[in-house]
Amino acid sequence: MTTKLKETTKIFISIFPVWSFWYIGILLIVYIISNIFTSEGLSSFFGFGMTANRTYLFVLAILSVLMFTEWALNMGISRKTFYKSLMITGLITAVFVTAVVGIITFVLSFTPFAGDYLLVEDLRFLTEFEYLIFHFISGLLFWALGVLIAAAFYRGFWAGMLSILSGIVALVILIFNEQLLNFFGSLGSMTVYIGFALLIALIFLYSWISYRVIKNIPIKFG
Amino acid sequence: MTLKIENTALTIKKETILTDINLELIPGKVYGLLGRNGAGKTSLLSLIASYRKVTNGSITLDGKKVYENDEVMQHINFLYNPKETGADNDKITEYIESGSIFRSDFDKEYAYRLLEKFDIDTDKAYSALSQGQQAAVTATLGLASLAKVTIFDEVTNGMDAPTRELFYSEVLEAANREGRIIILSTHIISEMEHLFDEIIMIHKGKVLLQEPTHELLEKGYTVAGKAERVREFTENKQVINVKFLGALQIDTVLGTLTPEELEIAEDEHLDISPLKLQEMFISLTDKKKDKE
Repeated sequence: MTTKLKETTKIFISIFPVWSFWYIGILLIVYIISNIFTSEGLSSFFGFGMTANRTYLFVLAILSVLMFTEWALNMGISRKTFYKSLMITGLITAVFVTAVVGIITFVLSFTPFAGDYLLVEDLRFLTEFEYLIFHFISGLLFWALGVLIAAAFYRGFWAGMLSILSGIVALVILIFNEQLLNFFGSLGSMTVYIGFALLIALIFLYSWISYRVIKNIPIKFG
Repeated sequence: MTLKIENTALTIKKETILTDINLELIPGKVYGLLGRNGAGKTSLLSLIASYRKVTNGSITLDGKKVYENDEVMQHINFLYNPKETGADNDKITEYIESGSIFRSDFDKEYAYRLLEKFDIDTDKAYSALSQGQQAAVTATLGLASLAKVTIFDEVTNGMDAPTRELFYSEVLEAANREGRIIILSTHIISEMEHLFDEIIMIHKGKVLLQEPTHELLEKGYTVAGKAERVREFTENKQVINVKFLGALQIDTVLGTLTPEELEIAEDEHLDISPLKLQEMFISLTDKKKDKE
């Protein structure tokens, strides 16, 4: 890791945990309020949080590109280093929010807000571990999509629109992947890992597209 | 260390912004980048700073490609006043700290000394400062970066007259000046001409000239005196500008004076003074415009 990459990543990982705590704090309040006012059974904070984390990672990736690209160039950081740093930060943030949500769920398990079941029912054939892996990996895909869509705003009309469109296609594929995983899950756990492999391949594909889009983006400044 | 811009062109959405730019900039000099609105000054600067990729040609520092090269990019510092500052809640001290993280030559002590001279409260958030104070912070970050290539794009906008004067004197006394290429892009030519060692004039996306300031200003002179006498004296000369001040007429003329002409001017009580860069600039950019 070059010094620049290290320093840029350090800056991000000093900022994002603060933002993440704000997000998780708000999410926790929403969860507790939902728990109080809902008569139907609710999932644990973990199930609740893991689904929301993907959206958070998506929004955070968009904000990161829009807020920090000009700053990075102004600090003499190349787009390539900035991109690498964003991807490392995405991974670290995904681990961070998963861990924090997990710790809070553990603490809540001793309270009336433990939830009626651990996970939401969208992936009913998956084990808890597979569920965790799925949401964690799909969070990374959301991050890559966020980077791609935000970077597309810097490009010309067609490049930008195509990038956004390909982002939407990925979300559709993800939904398809959920169904596929359910199907694989009903067949047996080994086949589930084929679904994960497909998802990881999708992350690599979209990370590569994001890099292609970001690598020559012009910076309009002032 | 030389900043070389060779056969560089920039096209944005099929519109040609810059064509065939060839420049060579060396350390120890302050370059004045002049051009009318839309001439391509900021586009050229954004190419040097890697904010954009050249469509054709190359930009190198010390023979190394500038674009997307971390090692080179940290030595190029592009300073401008941001338009939107409302969300910049970081304290001035944080600006100084992050400058020193990413730029190996950044001199923090020098930065704090400059901020004190500019009378900036370093504990304040950037967004809480006035426009002029923000400009002073931008200027400080540039000067203290000690970057090999330091580019100031209209940074004096918003500064009051005393702050501008202070900035000018700090540019002249900038730390490690002999090892730095300083580029000042400005519209306030009359105030800043004494800073420039060399002038680069851009017009309609092309380099009109790159010349040492003194050589450029030796290319003409101004004649002031009673209107009738001035008219007689400048008849058949290349007059590029005529101004009136009451009964006085001031002509700006391109060319040099012979000793005989100087004697005549003295006999006719005409004042001969050096050419003003601003007048030269207006004339050169206007003439081109007329031709096209």
